Amino acid sequence: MKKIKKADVKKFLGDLKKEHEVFAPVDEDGVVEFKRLSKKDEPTLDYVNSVVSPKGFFLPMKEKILGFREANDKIELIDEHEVGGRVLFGIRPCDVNGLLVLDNVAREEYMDPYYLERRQKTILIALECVKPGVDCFCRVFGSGPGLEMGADLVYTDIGDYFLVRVGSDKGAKLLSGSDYFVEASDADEKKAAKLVDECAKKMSNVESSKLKLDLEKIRDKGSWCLNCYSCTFICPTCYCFDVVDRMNPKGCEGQRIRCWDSCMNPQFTLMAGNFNPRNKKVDRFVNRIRHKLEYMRDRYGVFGCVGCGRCVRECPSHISMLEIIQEGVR
Amino acid sequence: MSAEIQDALRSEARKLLEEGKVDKILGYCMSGDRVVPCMVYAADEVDKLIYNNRCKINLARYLRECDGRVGVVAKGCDSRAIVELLKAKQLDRSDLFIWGVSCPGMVDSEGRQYRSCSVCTHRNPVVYDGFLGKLVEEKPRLKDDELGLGSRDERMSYWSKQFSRCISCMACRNVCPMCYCKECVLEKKDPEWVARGGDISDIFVYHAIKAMHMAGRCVECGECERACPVDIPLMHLYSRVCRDVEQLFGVEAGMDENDKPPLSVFDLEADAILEENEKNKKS
Repeated sequence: MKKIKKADVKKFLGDLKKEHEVFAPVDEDGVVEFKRLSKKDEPTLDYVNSVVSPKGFFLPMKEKILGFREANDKIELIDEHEVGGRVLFGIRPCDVNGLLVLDNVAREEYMDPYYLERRQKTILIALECVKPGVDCFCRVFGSGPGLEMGADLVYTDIGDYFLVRVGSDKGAKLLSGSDYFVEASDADEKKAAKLVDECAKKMSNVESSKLKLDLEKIRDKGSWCLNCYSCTFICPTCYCFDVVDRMNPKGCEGQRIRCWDSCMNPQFTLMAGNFNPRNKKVDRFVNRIRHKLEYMRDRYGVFGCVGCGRCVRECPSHISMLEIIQEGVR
Repeated sequence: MSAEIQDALRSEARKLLEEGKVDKILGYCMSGDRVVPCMVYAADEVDKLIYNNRCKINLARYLRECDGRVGVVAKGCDSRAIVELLKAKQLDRSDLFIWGVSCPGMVDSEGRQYRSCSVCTHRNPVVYDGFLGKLVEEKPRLKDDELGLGSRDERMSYWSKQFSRCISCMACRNVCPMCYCKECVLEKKDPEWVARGGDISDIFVYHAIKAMHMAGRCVECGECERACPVDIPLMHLYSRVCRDVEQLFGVEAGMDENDKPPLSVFDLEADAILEENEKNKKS
């Protein structure tokens, strides 16, 4: 295993920038977001987590899928999607696990070429957690605070240095091409493992394998849900989207756009003839919870929740996913 | 002070439920270490009701979805939202029993006061059937240039930066006690005023339409900016248009059930609203 001086991280990122677009968490007016690093940006590496999950780098809030044009009685289609080589630096273990969940969706039956291409072209440098956030509960699903797989490099804060573990060939290549990394000692490795372990011990622990949802209690909580959609937009594993055509005023040229949608929106399940199978707010809430905690588990063998705590933090009615899980295990 | 209010609230709530004057009570309770809205149906449950400086949630938003006779706890902003909803015929006054409480100024889990609460000018309730605790002194309104944004260009660059973070999740609309339309112009498909999957100009249009629809109606509870995941200070926009309506029509949102909603009854021919409202105030 290797390690890198904290002071050298920025130089390392500077080198990466020569060949890749480098994104890292940046604190702007108290809001931490992944941002393309410019010269003056200082990456924030002691953050809890970004406000919006980094799923947007793979499944953007909106993306052009194709363009179309009508000329001489023919319709021409133009491939408009583009993805360059990217590095996501400082992504948290829960969010890496979120991507592993999304991979199942993107690879199932109908492949999602846009998502998969971005996944393939993006290098993930994860940052393990040594200090839990107030609302974090990744330990419940084993999706943090340490990270076993899914990233190309894994950093752990051990004081003046970051311990660096290689997770893939791509990651190993990055290390071998750089002078900033030195060999880590056994003591460093032990320290990192201890810090992550201590962090885990501070977090809630529920045996998620015993989870059996208490639907009555969920409906009760759901009666307070305002269907504000914010949980679905910031969630690292919510992937529902809508496809819209944006036409120019003459209607002979336009773009097909895919954008995020929310199952909390009543229009999400509205059918022709005005029938809506999930017409009540509470039904939509229950569906979201069961999708995360039951349907995805039954379908892919992994929970659809990674315990990042974003929904708990942002919910205007303070509905807690952790409480729902705890009530389902008791 | 909050403890006194809490005790009084519990005993009043018990009495009302026992007498059968209300079917249920909408208030606050603890869930873990968070303060959440709750509904109490039976007299022996009233001890879960609490009141302290973390009861920031505007209960009027939930009141809209209640049926039956409801007892409700109302701070300044809750009561103003109730008044606005009564004006818009979204609530029936005879179904409500309102306990007015004064607000100590709400704080988050780390003890920081919310921005909307720090500029609040109506901590005391404006409408109630019973009042608990004591009135608090109201703070004067801050001057318009409180944001210190300066010129039009500076404001444009300020809001461009704020809106560039917007993820169009619509939480600001969905949590707003005043947004009760069954079909919202912001989500309408035909005609589509705000394009889904649009660019920053669509986000500007979204927020501009929302702000215009808050004119004369925003009760400045700050739910929108608290719900915003990316912390856009939205209430500034709505307060701004409300100040304009106050100047033009002499009506402040949520203060009097008998005020005419200026933008609903506006008539170019007869500029009588202002006069009528002023007459009301004098009498």
